[in-house]
Parts: sequence; structure tokens; C-alpha cells
Amino acid sequence: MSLIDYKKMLEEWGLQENPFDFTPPDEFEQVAAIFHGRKQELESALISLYEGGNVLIRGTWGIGKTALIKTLLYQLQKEVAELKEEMLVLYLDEIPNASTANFYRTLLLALTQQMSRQSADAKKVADSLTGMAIQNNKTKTEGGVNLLALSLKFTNEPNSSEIREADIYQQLLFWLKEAEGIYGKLVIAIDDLDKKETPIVQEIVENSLSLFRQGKNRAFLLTGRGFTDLQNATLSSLGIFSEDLNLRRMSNDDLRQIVINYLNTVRKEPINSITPFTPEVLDRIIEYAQGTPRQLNSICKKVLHQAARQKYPLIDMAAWQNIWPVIQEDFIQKLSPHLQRLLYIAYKQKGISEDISNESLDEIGALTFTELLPELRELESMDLIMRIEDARGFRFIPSKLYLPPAENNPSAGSIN
Amino acid sequence: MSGNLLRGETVNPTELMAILDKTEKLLKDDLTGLEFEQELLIEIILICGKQKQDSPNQWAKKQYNLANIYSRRIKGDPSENAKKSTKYYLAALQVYTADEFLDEWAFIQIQLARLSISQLRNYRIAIEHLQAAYEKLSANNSNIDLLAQTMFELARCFHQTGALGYSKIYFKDSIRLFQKLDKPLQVAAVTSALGNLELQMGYLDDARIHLQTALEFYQNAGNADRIKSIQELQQYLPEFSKEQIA
Repeated sequence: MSLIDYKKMLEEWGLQENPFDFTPPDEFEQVAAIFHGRKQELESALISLYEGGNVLIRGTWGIGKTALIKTLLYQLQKEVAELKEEMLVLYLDEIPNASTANFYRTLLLALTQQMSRQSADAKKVADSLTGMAIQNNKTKTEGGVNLLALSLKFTNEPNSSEIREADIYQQLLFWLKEAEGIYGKLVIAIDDLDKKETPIVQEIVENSLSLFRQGKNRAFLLTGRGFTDLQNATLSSLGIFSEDLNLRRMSNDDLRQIVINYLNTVRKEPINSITPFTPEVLDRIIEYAQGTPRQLNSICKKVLHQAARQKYPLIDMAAWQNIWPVIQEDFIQKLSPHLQRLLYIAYKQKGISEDISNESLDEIGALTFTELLPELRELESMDLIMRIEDARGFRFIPSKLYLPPAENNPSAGSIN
Repeated sequence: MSGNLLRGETVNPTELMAILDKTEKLLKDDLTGLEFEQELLIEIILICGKQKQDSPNQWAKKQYNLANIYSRRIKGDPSENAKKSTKYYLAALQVYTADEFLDEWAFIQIQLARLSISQLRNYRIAIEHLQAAYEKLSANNSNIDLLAQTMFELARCFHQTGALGYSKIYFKDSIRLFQKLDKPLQVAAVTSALGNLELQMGYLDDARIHLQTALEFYQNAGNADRIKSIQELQQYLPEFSKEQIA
């Protein structure tokens, strides 16, 4: 199929392009336009941040933490601007090599770089922090509120500084206070803080009590994944977070509305319609997404793409029956034999957890469950596996995108 | 030969070198309670050890052996011994790189982690050492014993720092590895630590099983101290009455 035919098909559906993507759009405004649901979480976090209260947003991979943060910051900017007040909102998409030391360095660099225009001393500090650089820097100003989205990466420069490592924390406290003086209010949001799965959020919080407790006009917004009850109790007892939002799976109605919102971003006029999906197909997609926006997006993107290629005027159940196996096959073929085997064992055992049997580990060719974690995370990032958290810990189960080898197929499970 | 030394007699350099080789085996054994032997070994190593420029490997071995003895030294101020141990381990690392001497390097990481905890109560540094060791050892899988020890120490650090979910995973994996190595003593030690953690986390059924398994091992081994400490934990299990323990 040529690109022209593909585009023509999308146009027949009234779409300028395939709107679905694996991650939320970069632009805060676009995310806010698509976002739906979690009204209560948004309201409580908004007020808390405005009043200088720290917010913790937690939830599993793909549950919509980034979308919630971006929507929240977009609304915060708009509403504070309407109040004709001033504020600096810093959004960091991640902390490179997340550790407590890098957390301080990253914040200090982001802050002093932003303040370089107002203060020569701030510029001096920013220039002295080598080994890390700001790669993307987008500023949006509305009234007296600057919303700055930063992406920091490590560079090849040696990680050195004129400031002693031990003094960086004190410097950070100093420049945060200065920033409050310049900007009035300050909100710092850090996304994907626990990407590496270490208990980094807890470590940072416990080592940085004055950072989070001082300053009436500054607030932090952090993300985290699962916490045990005891960790929750520890975090609560520190009294650092005025809002601790644990994101649950989204309802089917919310997911349906998100699909409509996505479609409307590429329609000439917004309409309340799920076209080109039929209600039956969308119900099936929503069922397969299991309350996870990321899975929803991933499936919609693939289905729309395949349906356009196969020129279905409408994505109904007949089309679905043909499209879905192709999508599943496509996912599997991209995997290494080792990952295919891991996925198959996860399917056979109805999930993999720390209690995996030694026989299963032998089949996968691993010594420990810990050894499997990076691969399970890789499969999770490909939407082929979902992490289910419960009171006992977490369990990785194959998503509906996984097509297991047919039971009557003699090669089932003997993937080399 | 060591008898000559103990009696203060002269020993020729060849004999000393032979003693030094033998010390390696002794160093791997538990020297606790052998104060005199520890002091003797320190003397021997200091006399026999090579200069760095003459033989970097022999020099590193000297630092490594001294560090190992000082980490368990009975005589002297414990804090000073720990400092010396750390100093010698760090010196050994100048030669013992992860690529060329994985076992020695990984063992030093474990020891530095233990010293960070015992001397500085610094779990963050300890976790850094252990994670570095874990990454190298798990990529290689050539020394399961060291991998098991590393995971056990990591589990204990995570337990202490409140990262209980991770602690549980690492305890369970280290049990697997010690079972594979057929080391029942270590399996019992980790199982008991896991039971303690599960009790703290509220997984009472799991805690009951693990504590009971460890208890039975120690009862067979006749280890009164361990039996007592496990029975103390078992009292926190709701339906575990004092009669049952008795």
C-alpha cells in the first residue's frame, strides 16, 4: 500500500493522521485536550501545589502518570495566570541515572540555568555543573506563569563541579529560596523518578527532609510506582506529601472518552463519535486494555494502522477477526527467542512473580527472578506484559497482545 | 614451620613463602576466636608480602589478605581495625579490577558494604557496592556462591532501609542460590531472615512457614541461640501460643 492510499483511507474515516501513540504528546496543551477522568485527583493536587504542598503520584507502568502530571501543570499554569499571580513551573521528564546525588545536581542545574538571566551568580553555578546538559528546553508563558519543560542528559564531560558534592544540597536549598524570591511561587515536577526500579523515591525523600519541608511557596510533584504498606506508613509519618495519589485502573467509560478525545485531535471538527471503530470492537479493545491507558493507545494505534492498510471502511468485528492475529504475530516476531521463551513461560504459568519455580527458571535459562526483571521491564515497555500489583507484591502477566503458540502446534513452547 | 615462628626461631624466606601460601586457606576459614593466629598471620604477611613495583599481583594479594584479617581481627580497637581493613581493601582494588579478578573484586565489594554498615551505618554506600557486585556477578554467573552472598546482603540492606518489597525478592533469590549450592546453613539463615521480614510485612502465613523451616533446621543442628531468636519471633504470630512453642 502506498502512503497516498494509506492517507486516503484515514481521510475516509475523517482523520488527518493516526492520532494514537505509545506515549502522551510532548505538548502539555495537547495532553490536556486528550485527558479524561481522574477529576478528584486533579482537583486535590492542583490546590495542594498552589498552596506549596508536595504531591506524590504513584501507579503502575502505563497507568497514566505522565498524562496526569502534564494535564495538572497545564491547568495550574492557566488558573494561576487567571488569578494574575506569578509562578515558575519546572517539569523534568526524568532524572538521568536516578540517585539522590543526581537528583540534587539535576535540580540545581535546571534551576540555576533558568535563573541565569536574572542572576550572574546563578549562571556561574549552572556553568560549573558539568557532566550533564539540558537537551530540550520548552517554555510556555501565560500571564505571570512560566511553564518550563526540561530534558536533561548526561554528557561525555567528566562529572565535575567547582561546588563540592557535599555542598550541592546546601546550594540547592539556597537557590530554591532565591527562586521563590524571584518567581513568587515555585512548582517542580519530576516524572519517571523510579524508572530504574530502585526504591529511589523513598531514599530521596528520607535524605532530603529540609528540601521538601522548607519554603512555603514551593512545592514538589514526584512520581513513584508501588509502595508497600510499611513504606506508605513511613512516607506518611514524615509528613512531606500533602497529597498522595495512588492511580487506579481507569473505567471503561473513561477509556472510551479518551479514544474519542484522541480521534478529535485529528478531526477537522470534534464530534462525539468512535468512528471508524464499531462499538463492539471498541469494547473489545477496552477489555484488552485492562484499565491501562498505555495499552489502550498501543492497541488502537496498531488496529487503526492495520485496518487502514487492509482498507476496511469500518473496523467491525469481521475486520477485527482478521486484523488482531496479524498484530499479535507482528509483536512476537520482533522478539528475541529468549524473550519469546520468557513470555511463553509467563503465559503458561499465568504470570511470573518472585515465587517462580526453579523449573521455570531453568526453562528460561535464568538463575534468579531478579535476573529476569530487566527483560520483564523490556516486555512491559513493549506492552506485551502487564504488571499487576497486589498486596503480595507484583506479578507480570502477558497482555492480550501476546499470541501464544497454538496448543496443537508441536513446536509450542519449544522456541529456540 | 609456623611452630618455628611461634617459638621465635629463625625461618628462612622459602619457608616463609610456604607459610604465606598456607595462610590463604586459613584466611578463608573462620578465624574467630583465634586471636594469636590472627596476629601471627598479620606478621607473616607483612614480612613476606611483595612491593607493588616488584609484583603487583602479589602485592594486591598481600593487601587483600591483610584486609580480610583486619575485618575479623579480635585484638585492638574495632573501629581502627575496620579502618585498616577498608584501607587495605581499597589498595587491593588498584590491582583487583572487576574484569581481571572478578571473584576478588566482588568479594571486596561485599566486604566494603559490610564495613560501610558496621562503621558508618551507611546503607546507601553499602547498596552501591553490592549492586555493583551484583551486576558483574549476574552478568557472568561464574561464581554462584558470591552471587548468593551479594543478594543476601542486598536483601538485608533493603530490609533495613525499608525497601521491603525488594528485600523479599532478594531473600528469595538468595535462598534459591544457596539451595543450588547445597549450603543448608546459609539456606536456614536466609529463610529465618525472610520469615522475620514477612512477619514485619504482615504476610503471616509465609512467615509461619519460613520461621518453622528455619527452626527445624536449627533444632536438628542444636543451635540454641538461633532456636531462641526464632521462637521469640514466632510469638508474634497470632495463633502461635506459648504452649505450641514449648
